[in-house]
Amino acid sequence: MRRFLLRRLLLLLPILWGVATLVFLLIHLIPGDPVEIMLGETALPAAKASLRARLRLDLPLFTQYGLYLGGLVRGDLGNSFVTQEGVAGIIRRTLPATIELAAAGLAVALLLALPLGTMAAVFAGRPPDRVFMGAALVGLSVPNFVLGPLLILAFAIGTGLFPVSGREGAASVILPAITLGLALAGILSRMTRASLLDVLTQEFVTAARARGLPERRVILRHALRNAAIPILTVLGLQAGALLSGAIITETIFSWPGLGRLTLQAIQSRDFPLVQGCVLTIAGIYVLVHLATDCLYAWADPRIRYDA
Amino acid sequence: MALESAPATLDPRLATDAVSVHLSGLLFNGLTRLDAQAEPVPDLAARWEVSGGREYRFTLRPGVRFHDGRELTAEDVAFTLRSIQDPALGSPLRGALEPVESIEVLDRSTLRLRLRRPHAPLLTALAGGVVPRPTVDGESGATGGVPVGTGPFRLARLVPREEVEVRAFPEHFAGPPRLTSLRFRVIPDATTRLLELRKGTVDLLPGGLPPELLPAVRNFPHVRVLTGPSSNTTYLAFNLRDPILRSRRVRAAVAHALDRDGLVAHLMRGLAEPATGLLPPRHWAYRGDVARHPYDPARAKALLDSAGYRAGPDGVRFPLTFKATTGELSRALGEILQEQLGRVGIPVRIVSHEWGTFFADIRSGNFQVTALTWVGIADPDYLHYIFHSESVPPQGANRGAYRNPEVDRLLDLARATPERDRRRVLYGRVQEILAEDLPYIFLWHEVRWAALKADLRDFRLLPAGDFAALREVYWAR
Repeated sequence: MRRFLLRRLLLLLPILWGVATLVFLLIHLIPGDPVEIMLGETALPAAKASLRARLRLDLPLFTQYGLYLGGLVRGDLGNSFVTQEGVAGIIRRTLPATIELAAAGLAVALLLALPLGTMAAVFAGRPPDRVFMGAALVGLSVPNFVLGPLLILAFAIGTGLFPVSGREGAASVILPAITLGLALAGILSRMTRASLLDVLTQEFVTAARARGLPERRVILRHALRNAAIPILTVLGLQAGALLSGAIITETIFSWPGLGRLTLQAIQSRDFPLVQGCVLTIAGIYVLVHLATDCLYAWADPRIRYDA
Repeated sequence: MALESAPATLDPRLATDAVSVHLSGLLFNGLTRLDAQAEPVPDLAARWEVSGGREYRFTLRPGVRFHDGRELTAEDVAFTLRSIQDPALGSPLRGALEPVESIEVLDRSTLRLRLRRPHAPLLTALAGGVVPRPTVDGESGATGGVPVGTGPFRLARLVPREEVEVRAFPEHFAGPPRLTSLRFRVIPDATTRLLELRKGTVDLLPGGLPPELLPAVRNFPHVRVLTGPSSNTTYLAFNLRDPILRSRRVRAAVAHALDRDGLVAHLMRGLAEPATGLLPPRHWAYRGDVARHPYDPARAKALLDSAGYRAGPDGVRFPLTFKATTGELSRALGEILQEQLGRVGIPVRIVSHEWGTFFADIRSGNFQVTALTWVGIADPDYLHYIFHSESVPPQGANRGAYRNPEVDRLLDLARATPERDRRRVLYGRVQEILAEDLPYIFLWHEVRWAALKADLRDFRLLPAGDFAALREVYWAR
């Protein structure tokens, strides 16, 4: 297992290099000049030239790429064009908010999806199944930009229990987490139901029942664990997406997360910040997938990585 | 208060985006400031004398203090202006000070500027904030750490991208502000900003609200809505390099095909006034008796016929491409254009791009027709920047490459004319020619609107959208 982890972590390096190269090329090749955006059109050509020189945008693209990679190797993500702050620092300050929202969103999704999906599978074809899966479909279909303001109206203004927006106090994460988690709960509960139904027809379940185990135990101890692999796969993919920023939800709730930061950076053509954000997102994806693979081994002891 | 975006900087010498300009305006004062007619009036300068159009002598208001207690002197003003001229700072104001040849401190409160050539827009440029000169340890007042200015508020707290808090500066030369502190929160989504106001957790939304949300806000309890004119102008721009759009008749036909009153009534929900030119009606140099090209599709068709663009068997004369941003208003305008120009035989294709791409395209002349808004029109020299043949990018913003020698001559002359009334006549003539030549079709000046708690008093909406009125705001409790 340790060798597997080490190998996968080493694999992170070429992936990050690939991502760094791709994002570097993309952002430098799309139209839009950061100097124009920063100085506005009124600037004198000389002023633009001097800023361009200061940001080292006047160097050949290949040299810029070399300098950028050199910085990366030393762990230096560069400084934001707009605010001159270090990119690593900006991202580090954004991460707690991002992780908090992603974790809360995942928690909402799991707390809803696992019980409801299990119940739906147990009562497959009967009214509870229809009700839960109908609810899942609604959760999946309501877009965040509708759900967010509705939740604000109902719970922030209606009851006054939660703040409308911002990240202040523990209560502030709840509405954005529900907004994020509900759609995910829709996917996951359908996944849980389908996967569990599949498992429930297998022989070991029949055997467990034949041994006289209570149905509760059959479902929770035996069937659910065996149904976990597809659920984990979806969960891993979605967790990566949540951690890399839920731009719409973050914007509605003015949540200071990675998604909004990336969007702002792209709009202002803040190259170092865009590169830093994308690298972080790529890193998060790789790590989350690694974690998912480790969880596979836990869910299914037949999966081993050392062989 | 809630803001739609965070300031990129609070240094008045570096601010370009509206939020940065407005917030730094609370912390700093300029030598001049612009009144509601966009005319420069004294601020840190108590008065000035102009001799020969090339020499400006400013006398500072006595007893002005910076937030750190130091007294403002002519040295600080000189430092500010010189730092703007220094390419190392990268100030966007550097171009506006380019005609300034020398900056001399005559004594503690007197400053003399000599210009290379007469340049009337100078006084508008000097409305930019004055920062203190560096102290012995070399810290400049605005770049290192906390920005220090002379404004009615001083910075108390700054959370990048999220929040700005300012406190009243009791020693401000015009007297202390009535509120002791102001807190600005960045809330990018307009609906969320309104919901915060609805809940009462935000007291004042100073602007940046789309027109379609106004009816809902009118029903909020304990909330008042204010409206007021703006100095923003939304326009349709033609690329005159285009072989079809080069024809003035074609441009006039497009103008006649557009129902501008309908645009104002429906697209802007009445929150705009139709425009006749770049300058809004309250501007000191505004001229209103110019050609107007009212809505008249029949006339549009006749003009197109006479320009040689007859309708084919399918009713099509020629297609146009409208370049839009991803903004909702921009695309909606494109759709209306599509509908109205389609009726006179000009099918319109809408291409919409993210801002950076869009802006690079229109700067490089890669467009046929586009629409944008000039924000905060102050000095009429803006006309030089937009319509002078020397202002074709990268020099300026004549993105459609409009060229008219008479306009060039008038704009050069107006620039070199310090007397306000002579300048007004010259700019009046330019406005007249532009309304006939139609390098732009001027659409509307938006009406600003703000929403605030009913017991918050004396907030005024200013045409430039700045926060200067916050000095006078108080709670009636």
